[in-house]
Amino acid sequence: MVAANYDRRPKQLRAFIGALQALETEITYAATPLPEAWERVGRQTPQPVGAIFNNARAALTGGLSAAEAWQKGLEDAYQETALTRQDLEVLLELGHCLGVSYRDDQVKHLQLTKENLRQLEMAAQEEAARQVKVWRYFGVLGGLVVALLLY
Amino acid sequence: MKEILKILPGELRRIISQLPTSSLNLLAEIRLRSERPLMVNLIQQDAFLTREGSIISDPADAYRVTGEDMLKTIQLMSNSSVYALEEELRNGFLTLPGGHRVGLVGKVNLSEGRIKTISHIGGLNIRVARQFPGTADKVLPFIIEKETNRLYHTLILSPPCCGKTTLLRDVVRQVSNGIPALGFLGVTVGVVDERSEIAGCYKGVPQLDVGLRTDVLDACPKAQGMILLIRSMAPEVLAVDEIGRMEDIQALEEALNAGIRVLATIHGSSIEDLNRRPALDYLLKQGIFQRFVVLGKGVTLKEIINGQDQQPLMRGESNVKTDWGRPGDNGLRIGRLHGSR
Repeated sequence: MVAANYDRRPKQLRAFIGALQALETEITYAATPLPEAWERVGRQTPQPVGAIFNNARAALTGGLSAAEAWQKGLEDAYQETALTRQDLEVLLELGHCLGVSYRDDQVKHLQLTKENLRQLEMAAQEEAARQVKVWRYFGVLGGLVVALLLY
Repeated sequence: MKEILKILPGELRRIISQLPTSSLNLLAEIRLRSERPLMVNLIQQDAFLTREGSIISDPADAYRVTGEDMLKTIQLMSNSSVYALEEELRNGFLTLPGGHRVGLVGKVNLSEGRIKTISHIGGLNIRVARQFPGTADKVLPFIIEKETNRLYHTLILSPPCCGKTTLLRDVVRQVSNGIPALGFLGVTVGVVDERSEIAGCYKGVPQLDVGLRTDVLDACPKAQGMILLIRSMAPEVLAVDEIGRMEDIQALEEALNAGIRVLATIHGSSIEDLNRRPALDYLLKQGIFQRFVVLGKGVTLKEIINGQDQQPLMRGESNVKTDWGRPGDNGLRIGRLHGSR
């Protein structure tokens, strides 16, 4: 289970990077308004990340501001993701900028966030490789202990 | 009104919706200026509003619009996506569902000497769109050629705010739908609506009634738009608002060559007025227009002139206000047309 979490975190970070890339495309090329853009991105992004966009969209059309809706979407889903508090901070930061400025500025913020996520993802991958090895090692070791005890 | 209330943040929405119905019917503009009193315009007469939604003349007791109110309004108007309104903010206005128009001012950002964007919006003018069907009833018999079922080349002259666009819109609507009373069958009309005032398009769909056979090219520069419409939509009548530049005139000539009837408006209070402006003088010398409809101050129909012999076909009684401005259902007569100007 724990080993699986280490495996899932880089995957989810990658999903976020891809989703933000898609959002950037929606904003720059089609100037799609946020509710619609989030819905589209949500649909094409693997779960559980896709659901975050969908929930944020629902909150936004329900009357929250973009920043509040984004925060709600993230925090509601946080427990089900493998993301760390640090990942969450980076994503929440983006919320304050979404939708409040012109295209050029939106792109800058999205790119900065993607870059930050990429760093986190690389670190997460190394961490995962190490931890998975450790846990598997423990697993094998545990197996050996059991085997020895049985003898 | 529903459409307008939707873009106002809670506090402002509450204040405006507390206005008595009699005032709501006259509401022409809502003016939001950051850190200044909330104002409304009730048909040529402005007033301040208190927190309780009552109309007062002393600004000291009025509700003061906050920066937060401005921000929230922008958010609501743009669907939390300011970037989607870049083009509109560059032009300084946008159209809401329902055809209501919002003018904006603030800090302008330049790029190579041209307006790139407006940021820090400091003032908003929300103009309520109203339509006055029947405005053109008195004019139509004079500008229609019955035998051929065609419109004469018509130029509407008017000083600002005298109902030029409102009249144009109603002529377009009726000519497009057909006028049974005059035995006129509807014809295809092409409208170039550079400032989204004629049809009040939202996402390309006219929000005001411009008729069944009307094609609207929204937010398009007039000269380019006229050529485009001629080539692609085969209009019988081409309608444009506020012509005046040489390139507009050239495009008009193109339309004439294609056998299209032209319906245009222009700023000016008399034909002599136009002679003083080179591009228009040229246009008049061509003797293109067959009918001149002249509007006067206070929304009066001054006269209709035959373009061939310059003789008046019809003279409105001076200083008598025509009854073509009648808001909705309460039967209140107003002296002024208030469409989305």
